[in-house]
Amino acid sequence: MRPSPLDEEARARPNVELARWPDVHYLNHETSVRSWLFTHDHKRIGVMYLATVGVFFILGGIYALLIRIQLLSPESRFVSPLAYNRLFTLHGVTMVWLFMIPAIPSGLGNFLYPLMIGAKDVAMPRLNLLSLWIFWAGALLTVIGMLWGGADTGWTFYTPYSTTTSTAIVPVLLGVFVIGLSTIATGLNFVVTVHTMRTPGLGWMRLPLFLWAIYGTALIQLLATPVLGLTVLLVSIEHFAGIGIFDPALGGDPILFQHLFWFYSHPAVYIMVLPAMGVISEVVCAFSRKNVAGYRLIVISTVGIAGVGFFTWGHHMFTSGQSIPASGAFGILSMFVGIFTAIKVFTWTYTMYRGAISLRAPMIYLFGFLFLLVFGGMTGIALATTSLDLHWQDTYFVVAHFHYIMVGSVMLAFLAGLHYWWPKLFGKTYFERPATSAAAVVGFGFIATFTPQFYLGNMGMPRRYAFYPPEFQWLNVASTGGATILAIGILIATVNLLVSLRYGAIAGDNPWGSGGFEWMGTTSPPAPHNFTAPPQFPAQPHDYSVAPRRTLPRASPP
Amino acid sequence: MPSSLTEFLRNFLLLPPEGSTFSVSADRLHFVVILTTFAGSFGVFLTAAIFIIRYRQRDPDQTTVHVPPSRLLEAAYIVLPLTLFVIWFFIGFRQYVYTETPPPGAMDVYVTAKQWMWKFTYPGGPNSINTLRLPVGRPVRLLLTSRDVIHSLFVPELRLKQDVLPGRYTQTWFTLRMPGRWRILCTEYCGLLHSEMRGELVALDPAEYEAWLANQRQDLNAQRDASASGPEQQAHPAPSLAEQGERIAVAQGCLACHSVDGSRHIGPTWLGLYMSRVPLEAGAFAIADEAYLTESIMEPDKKIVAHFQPLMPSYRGRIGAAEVAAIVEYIKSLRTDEVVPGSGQEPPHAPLTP
Amino acid sequence: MPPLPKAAIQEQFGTPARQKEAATLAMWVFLGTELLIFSGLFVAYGEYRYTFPVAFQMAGSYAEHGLGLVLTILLLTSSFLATLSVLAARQGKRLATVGLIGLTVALGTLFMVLHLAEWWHHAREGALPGRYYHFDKLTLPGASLFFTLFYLTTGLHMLHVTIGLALLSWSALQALLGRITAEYTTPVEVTVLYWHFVDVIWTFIFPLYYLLARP
Repeated sequence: MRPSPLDEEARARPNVELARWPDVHYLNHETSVRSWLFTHDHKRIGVMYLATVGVFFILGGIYALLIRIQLLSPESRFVSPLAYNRLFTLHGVTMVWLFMIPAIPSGLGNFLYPLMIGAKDVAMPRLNLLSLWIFWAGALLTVIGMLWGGADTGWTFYTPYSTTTSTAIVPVLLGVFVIGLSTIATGLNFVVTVHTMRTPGLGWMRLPLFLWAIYGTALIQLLATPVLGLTVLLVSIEHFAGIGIFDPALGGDPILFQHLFWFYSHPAVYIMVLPAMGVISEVVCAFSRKNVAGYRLIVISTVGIAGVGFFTWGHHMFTSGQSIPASGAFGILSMFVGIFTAIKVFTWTYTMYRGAISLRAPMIYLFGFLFLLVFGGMTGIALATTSLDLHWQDTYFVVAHFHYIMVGSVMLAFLAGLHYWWPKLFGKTYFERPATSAAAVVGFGFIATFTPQFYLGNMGMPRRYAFYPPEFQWLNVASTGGATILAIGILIATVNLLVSLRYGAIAGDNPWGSGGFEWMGTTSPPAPHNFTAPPQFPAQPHDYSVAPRRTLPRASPP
Repeated sequence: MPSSLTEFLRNFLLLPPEGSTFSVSADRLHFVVILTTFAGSFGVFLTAAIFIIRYRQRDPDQTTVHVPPSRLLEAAYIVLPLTLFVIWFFIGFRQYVYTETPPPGAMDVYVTAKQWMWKFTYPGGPNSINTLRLPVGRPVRLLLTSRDVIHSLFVPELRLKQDVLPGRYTQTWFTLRMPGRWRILCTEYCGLLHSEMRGELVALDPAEYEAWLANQRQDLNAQRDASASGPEQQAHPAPSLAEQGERIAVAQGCLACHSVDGSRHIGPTWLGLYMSRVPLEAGAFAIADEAYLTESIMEPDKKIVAHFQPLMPSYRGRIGAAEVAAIVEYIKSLRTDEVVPGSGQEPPHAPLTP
Repeated sequence: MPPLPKAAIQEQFGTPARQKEAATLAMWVFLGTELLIFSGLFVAYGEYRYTFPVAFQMAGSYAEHGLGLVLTILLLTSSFLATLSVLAARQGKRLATVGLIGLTVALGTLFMVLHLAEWWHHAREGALPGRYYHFDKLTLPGASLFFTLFYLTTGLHMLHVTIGLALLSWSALQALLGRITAEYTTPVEVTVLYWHFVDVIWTFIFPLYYLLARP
């Protein structure tokens, strides 16, 4: 960022001052390894989560690129069929449980939550640390499973295949189980924190929307994850002990597994999406310099998604032999959960009306997010239109749909949030030009990767195919080309952020002049205990009727 | 919709030819939903783009007024999409119910999926591996079961798929619209060679189909003519697989050693046999599922039931796979009130022909 | 008001009241998650009972009704004693608190011992899960599922009983060491809340696996 003559601007405007680097902040006040591994500080825990999920994101991305290389030709011998089956399974497991579910809530959420409510820390900091350790333990178990060859069942582990396969499924399942424990602990912490630790005077309807999103997410985590825990445990026990709970030969029902699995896994997608929507709520306000157009609607939609989302799981099972009334019930409820997302999209767009929009990297990501969420979400509505799902189920149409949401929406929101809050986390600004270029490359790369997959689904190409009929080749080649572009975009964005840690300008308390609560009363990076005195938050977050305090970034001394 | 428009859309969306009567209705709904999807996404995108240009920031400290949202606009953007979604749902649900209710008079074909192949059995007719020949213009019902894990039978041209489960039957039905040769693909991941578990659906003109069927049955009859039961079979075609199985069991002499009323005879009784726990020699046990019953017919010396003599001859080469299936069905039908075989419900699989 | 024990106040809370509120809320929310774990097993029971009504009824008749009743009485009594211990704690009666928790732990331990004996009895008769099932008196399809679910559900329950006993022992120790006072009873309260939950789950297990049977 190249600011105008700094001193002049700072003198002329009362709300502007030069950025200052705090002497003592949460990163430098203790620097031993022990002080990091045994910290109770939610900010450090959040940063460690971000680092961990970053590593696993790269791993999951490598799996994805290997898959796409295999799919360049119909009978490719790049990897064996067994290896391919393991690749797509591990890609799914890594991306879902080791990246998407923890990234925003445990990474950004941990960092921002207490800052946004004026608290010194979360309600149970020791539980927070335990949560991180449990996450690492679960990740380690999963990696051990990967090193032993990994599972080949798909991340959905359908029985009876998963209970009879000879691959290393049990360490992977137990790894997921342990990660689930971490998720429950984090959710518990967040719920208790927002209920009991808001600064005096901060009522529910004044909370930043990111907090509402994380709160909704925490509720889902608490109620859905236990069922996943039970289910993976039952599959593991059946796999090594043959207890027969899902085995038709012993009277068991494989469809029971599907019900139990999807009862968790559908709300799980809302665990991934809601925090992303929370980020977008913050980013759209900060970069339009406008209060959100319809706070109440967003809150209702957030709670609506969290609640109704629990009753839609059977839309993954329309072709499973499920009864007609069940399909009907799940279908109509899926339509209702879809409307909440539509409401949010319209509200965010409305927020931009008569705003003061600056096209920085977070806003570019937001722009892409809006398009991709509507497109991806509406293809979800299309899939819930039961008769149409009979064609699309288990084809690349579904793969494209959920990647539009998971990558096109959630990952873009995550990147938007990382860029927006990077100055607060690390006190440095990133370099704007590479960031905006990367955002554009990511957007185009994404569309080039996943739009061909909608077409592949229409043509009838099934999922999880290592080899495919030759008429599907040209679209697969296009998709792989797009994936390469997407990877490059992500690489540029990541390198840019990391380089800025060393070479970026000093951001100061609030380089964006944002009206978000987390920017008020804290330095960048924040002090070890966040606030020296209880912060005075304005009546609503993102109130730009009066320009908030802003700091002018300046280059760090050499 | 005019057919030129639907043809254009079908090609634009890369949808395969409309092979079944259902494909036509599904595609119509598809077009409406997908066009709305395009319109919605581009609409939002354009609106955002216009706002970004029109309301771009002029000053980093620019203030804005809080615009209270128009209640009318909020109501519109809740009610309009919801109405659309619900309408689509009801149209789609009606179509779905249509695909789940086979009409009376539908022709049945039994499908057995197994890692990694498809077996198709026509009642009274041939069976074939991986190729499914069907007549155009007649409703066909598929009755599907799996021998091992969950599979799913998918034909893109039909716009239909149905998961195939072990331990029970699922069903789907369709009416073919035109002749053609289309791929059958497995669409539920089932292990190593999932992507090679493919078949072919050959849609034939009714006359061609009948000719093929007659040809196949002639060969089968020629085989059966060599055994005593031949003429009887031709004179009295059996309505259901279980009843066929009973006739075959009589004709092949099974009932000379196995009773069907629970009494012990030379061989174990068939009453209540299916899915029961069968005690074998040397303290082992087996569950009398389809696999066990088939093995007992083909290789009876593999598992001898405790307290019985190993007297049963093998029927390998004496009866065909379809006849074995029929006998298995017959044994399955021999239940008492005490015993509830299998898991879950078996949808009725007697043909609907009156 | 006497000063609170040193370990009691956590820095991030403004007041002790708020800290207690947080701890209690945390335990209630946590119990909600535990309820959902058990729900999956109850759902499985429901499905298989619907599918195999006769087998499940007959299997239930082979359950140890008398023992089941004893186990229920043990747990209910232990919960009652646990509640009394909370009352004692709130009145600052240190020894009564420790004693009552101790009795609770004793009854809980007896529950575990008897329950494990019951498992051993079933195992000896051949009523083992899945493919190891060889209970001659009941060979209907679905019977093995009854016992599979029985072991899974009561096994999960026993795991929670063990955790509960450990937590109760720990809070008894806290009381013994004088860290529980009339103003700071939180560890005892949340632990007893957990113990009540363990008891409530048993009141669902008992009818499903012991009472719903055809004699």
